[in-house]
Amino acid sequence: MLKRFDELLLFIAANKTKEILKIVLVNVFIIGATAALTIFLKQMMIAFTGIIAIAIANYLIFNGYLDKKKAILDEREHEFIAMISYFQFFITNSYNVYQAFQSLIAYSSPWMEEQIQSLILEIDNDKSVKPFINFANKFKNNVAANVMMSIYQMVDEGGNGLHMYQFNSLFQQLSKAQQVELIDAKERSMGSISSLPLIGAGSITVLLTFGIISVMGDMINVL
Amino acid sequence: MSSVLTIGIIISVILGVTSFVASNNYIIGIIVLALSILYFLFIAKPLLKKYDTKIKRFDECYHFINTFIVSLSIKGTVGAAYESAIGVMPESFVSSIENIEAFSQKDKLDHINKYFRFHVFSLFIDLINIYEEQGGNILEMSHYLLEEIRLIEEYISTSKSIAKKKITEFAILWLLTLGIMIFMRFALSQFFTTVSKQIYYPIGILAICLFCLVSIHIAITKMSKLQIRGWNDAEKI
Repeated sequence: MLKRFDELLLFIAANKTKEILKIVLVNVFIIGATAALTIFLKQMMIAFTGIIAIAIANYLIFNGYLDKKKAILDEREHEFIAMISYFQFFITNSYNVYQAFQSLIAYSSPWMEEQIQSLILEIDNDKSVKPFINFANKFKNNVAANVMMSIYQMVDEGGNGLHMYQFNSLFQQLSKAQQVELIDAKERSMGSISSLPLIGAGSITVLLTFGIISVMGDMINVL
Repeated sequence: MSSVLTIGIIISVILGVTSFVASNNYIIGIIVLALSILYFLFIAKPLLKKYDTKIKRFDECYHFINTFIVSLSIKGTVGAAYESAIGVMPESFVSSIENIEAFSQKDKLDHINKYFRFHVFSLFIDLINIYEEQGGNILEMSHYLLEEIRLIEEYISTSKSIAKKKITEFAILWLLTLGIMIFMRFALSQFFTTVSKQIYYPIGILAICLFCLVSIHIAITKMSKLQIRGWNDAEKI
């Protein structure tokens, strides 16, 4: 469990000491505030709310790490498609596959640059399909393997018209799918904001209910 | 941008008045009003300005590349194409490149690249370099670049229309929610007189109004998130 947490922090490039300190501080703050309010206001309801707040805060913190990991993986997939788009630009403008990959480095993130450098190095030493497959394996999208295979065929069989056509049609599919995915992601992201006013309305209901209960409690006490 | 501030002030006043009326506590009203104004002035305005600049820059970039390529295909020289492209650009862009008149053609484009920052513009510079070295049909050579730009343009315009629709829904829902708060205050006046004396009630109203502000921030952040390769939101404009 702890090993997995360490791996997760390493993957998202977070500082372990800082993150643990953050978790401890959040928990200590909520526990302290809950204890102080419970003692000061003498309401057990606050202690119960505090327990819920601790659970929610920890869930949000740990979920945040997972979200960050997912965002990094998604960004790598998007970057792969962007790189292939730039690759297509270079290859159609008379660059060979090797030159095209080298030109991509200027447009890459540090992680992608590392992968492209290692691909170029592997291509230098190994003329088989293996370096291309190794590169594709860094991405979860299966289409990456097809694209890299198509690029390998271009290298292996001299980049004739048929292979170029195959590559282009494969890329068109990938590009369209990414465009749809990007717009869907925007729609989903913006769609989620509609739930916020509902949470606000829900909070009013809770406040109202709490008010009714406390008024009734006061009435019972008077009786 | 002044319209952003005007809308921000209107929202701040609505939130401030609502929190005051609903809690019957002027301190809470002032806290909410002050925090809202500070938020719109120092956080929302710069965020929206960056978003607006990003979209405007991409439009300019698209316009520049398109005009440059079309002019290059007609006139055949990079210098003439550059002059034509500059000629159709807005005043803000022209004033930002006033001091580069003495630069070489390549340096001029590199300087403009720092202004646009988008990967598509770097690709465009690569295209011009390839064209100068090897020649060829610029319209055919630029096919994939223009296709890439078209896809980004489509993404931006779709994102803008989605954001407009969702922000409208969001605003209507919050107005209804705040309306309920005020309605409660007057419709249940007897009940309100009792609960407003309890400590949790004004705190609850304050928390709801602050949550409204937080949700506005979430909405603005989500709206302004546009993935355009090469542009880094953290960089200073």
